[in-house]
Amino acid sequence: MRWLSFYILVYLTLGLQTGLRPYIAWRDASPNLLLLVVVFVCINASQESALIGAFILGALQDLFTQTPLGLHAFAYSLLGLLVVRVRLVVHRQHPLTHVSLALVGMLILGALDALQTLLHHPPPGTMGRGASMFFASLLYTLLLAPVVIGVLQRGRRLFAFELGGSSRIPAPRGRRRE
Amino acid sequence: MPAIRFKHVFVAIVLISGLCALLLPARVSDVARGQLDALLVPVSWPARKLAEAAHRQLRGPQRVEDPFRGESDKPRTSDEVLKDNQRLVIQVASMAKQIEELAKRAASREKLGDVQQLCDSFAVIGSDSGNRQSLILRGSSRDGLKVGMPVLCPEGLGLAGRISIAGIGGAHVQLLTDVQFTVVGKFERPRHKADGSVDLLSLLPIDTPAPLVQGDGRGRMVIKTLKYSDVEKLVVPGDWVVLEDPDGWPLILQHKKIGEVESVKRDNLGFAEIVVKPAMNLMQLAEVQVLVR
Repeated sequence: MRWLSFYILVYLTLGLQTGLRPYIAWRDASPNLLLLVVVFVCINASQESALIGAFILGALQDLFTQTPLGLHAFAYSLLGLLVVRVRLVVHRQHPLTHVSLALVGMLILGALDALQTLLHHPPPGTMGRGASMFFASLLYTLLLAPVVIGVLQRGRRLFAFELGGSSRIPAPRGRRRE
Repeated sequence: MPAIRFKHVFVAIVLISGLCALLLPARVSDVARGQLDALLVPVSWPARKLAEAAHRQLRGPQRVEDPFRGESDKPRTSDEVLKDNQRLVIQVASMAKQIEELAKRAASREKLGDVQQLCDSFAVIGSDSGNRQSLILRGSSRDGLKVGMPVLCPEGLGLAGRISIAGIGGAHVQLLTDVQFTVVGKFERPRHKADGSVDLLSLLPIDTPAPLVQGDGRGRMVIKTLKYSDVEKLVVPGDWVVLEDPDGWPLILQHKKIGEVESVKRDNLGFAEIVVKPAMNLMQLAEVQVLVR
């Protein structure tokens, strides 16, 4: 993967997420653009690049939020581990794949956030309010997933991904494809 | 000896980040924050300004509410506005002098008086990158910002929150509307004069137990610790919630407006659910004032 292109994408997405969030929110629920970038990188890059990229994205997002440090890095790394396992058996260009993977990512993030909140004895009513915010944010992110990832997929040549554009399982080296 | 592979190192790093997220207290992990915020300014600040301008265009001209009008439909004339302003300036100047005298007599170490003179303004360059209610300021520990400093809305329109992170690269403000923010308040009601207008300098206290005001994470605050029987018919929409927390906040900010009551409902357990609206949309603030002195 071309790391310069990756860092430029991360920088722009993080800047847009922090700058635009209050103005693109719907009833105070905002989309998670960085998670969509994680899905894009993980379905296209080689295994090592995808995992490192997912961790870096999460760690950078952790530096600009009030949630505990390491939460997004942990969640996106788990998502990366899952995506690199399943990406060879799914249609990587299909919007439904993008939406499904974004859904899994948001659920992982939501579950970890809820677990972390429970462990630190939240004020009464926090879990209920957090849950309603989370589901609104989840729906918004899923609505944007096919659009954002679809646009990024069109520019994947800029990243020189090792995995290529085909969604078919590549033949093992040394054996001719029948 | 087995070779250390990439996956071993990666799993170890991921587990460390997981432990950090779940078990490490915020005061330890927050040290790493606030160091790189300035790097985002070239993207986040112009994006925010453009979005602000677009939002203003789409929203159209906003009718400013006249808090002195009260129930009356007729707007105040310019003569009435001038007279009210003169009366307020004289009254505020007199009260400031009285406070100064009382502070001298009490030999108080607490600063009192005009809070604006103790504040510095800082521009907002962005907001929380996750789902929390916080702002990122164009200001840092080099500008004198410290964790715990109170933050106010511009033009003294009320409290906004507190500095939660202050590093060399930037500072974060945890807003009143954040789910983890709590503050003790008090209900008060502006008096209505005979002509129906509102006397904002004379607030009627409402006798209820002290409410614990918590952010709800959706741009509002909520009070859920009072029994409905304690507030029924006493607290109504439009009442003010002001700060009354001398242990946690400086004396000069006591009785500063937190917000206005939006609704009062009863939940299944007999407790009141009171929703409080802040003076403005805190996440869309373009600048804030920080009590630095």
